[in-house]
Amino acid sequence: MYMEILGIITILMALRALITQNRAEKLLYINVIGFSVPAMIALYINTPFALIVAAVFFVCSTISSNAIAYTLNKLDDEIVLDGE
Amino acid sequence: MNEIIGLIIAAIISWLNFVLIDTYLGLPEEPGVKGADNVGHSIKQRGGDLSGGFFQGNILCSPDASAGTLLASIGFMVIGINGGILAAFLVYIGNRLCADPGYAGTTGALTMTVILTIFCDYLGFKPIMFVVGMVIAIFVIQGIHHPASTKLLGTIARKFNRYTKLE
Amino acid sequence: MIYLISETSLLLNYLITIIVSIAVALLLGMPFLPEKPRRFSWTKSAVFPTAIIAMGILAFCFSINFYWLYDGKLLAIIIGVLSAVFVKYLFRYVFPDSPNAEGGNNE
Repeated sequence: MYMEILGIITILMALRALITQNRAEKLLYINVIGFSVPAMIALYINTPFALIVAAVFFVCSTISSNAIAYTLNKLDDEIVLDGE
Repeated sequence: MNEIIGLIIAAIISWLNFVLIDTYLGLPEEPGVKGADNVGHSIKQRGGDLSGGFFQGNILCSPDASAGTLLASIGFMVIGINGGILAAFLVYIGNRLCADPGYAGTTGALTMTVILTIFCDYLGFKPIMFVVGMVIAIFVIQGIHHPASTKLLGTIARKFNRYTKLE
Repeated sequence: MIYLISETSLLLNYLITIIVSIAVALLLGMPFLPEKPRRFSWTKSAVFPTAIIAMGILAFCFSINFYWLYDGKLLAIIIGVLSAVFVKYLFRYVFPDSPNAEGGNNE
């Protein structure tokens, strides 16, 4: 039952992230996936090493979200050159 | 302990643990990094609360008490009480990697370890309920409707006298 | 969970390591608590990284069931001393100061 709940949350958030237009909103939905996937990993590998794997995955996803969030506003000043 | 009721109670306890500790340690007051600033202002433009927006941005950009609660629950589930304390240490290392002093994550993990020993060893809960409960709590904060949840976080920040003074 | 030593012995080991690490850190000259504002400061102190690092290394040793002599008490004392020495002298090599440690975001 617990694995199914986590799976439903992950799929819902992935679909919602696909549909929304606003970039910051998408990032918050992806962050929920960054929580539910370590939980699924730990539920599946039910051994002590699961803590290390879940922690590493979680910290890596947080660092990449940090990097993406830093550049969110800078994309609006992009100048697109049409090659002639 | 009935599974569904146990799951709901575990979700409420995990939600309270991470929201109260994060609010007390100042997450709604200012954005820890520039990314949290961007997310906070974007939520404010969509009709939310700025302080709650900074809270959400800080959850996104660095491991805070939400990470500590989740990893402490996972650690308690697979190893036991040593796992909760090891999770606090891992969250501290993760905080340092994200350029954050590290108070919120370690405090959240240690308090969650204490809560888990009380609930799982003496009151009949199972640690897996707290792991799934924490994911449900984050889903409620960040996955349903951002303006509404940021208004709730802003109200809690006002009660703790941690509302932001920035614009 | 089943541990190889009793639960009171486990708690006693953690208490010993916290007290020993705080005591050695105070002896080496670190402040007891971080400077104010407590929630945002970057200074290392006796309570903040020292006690956490000591508890973390002890938890790692106990989770692989390495208790050594006297049910883990000697290990607790040694790890407490080592963690205080590490935080005082080697911390800045492993965790360098971040660029915005002087406060505030740039731009």
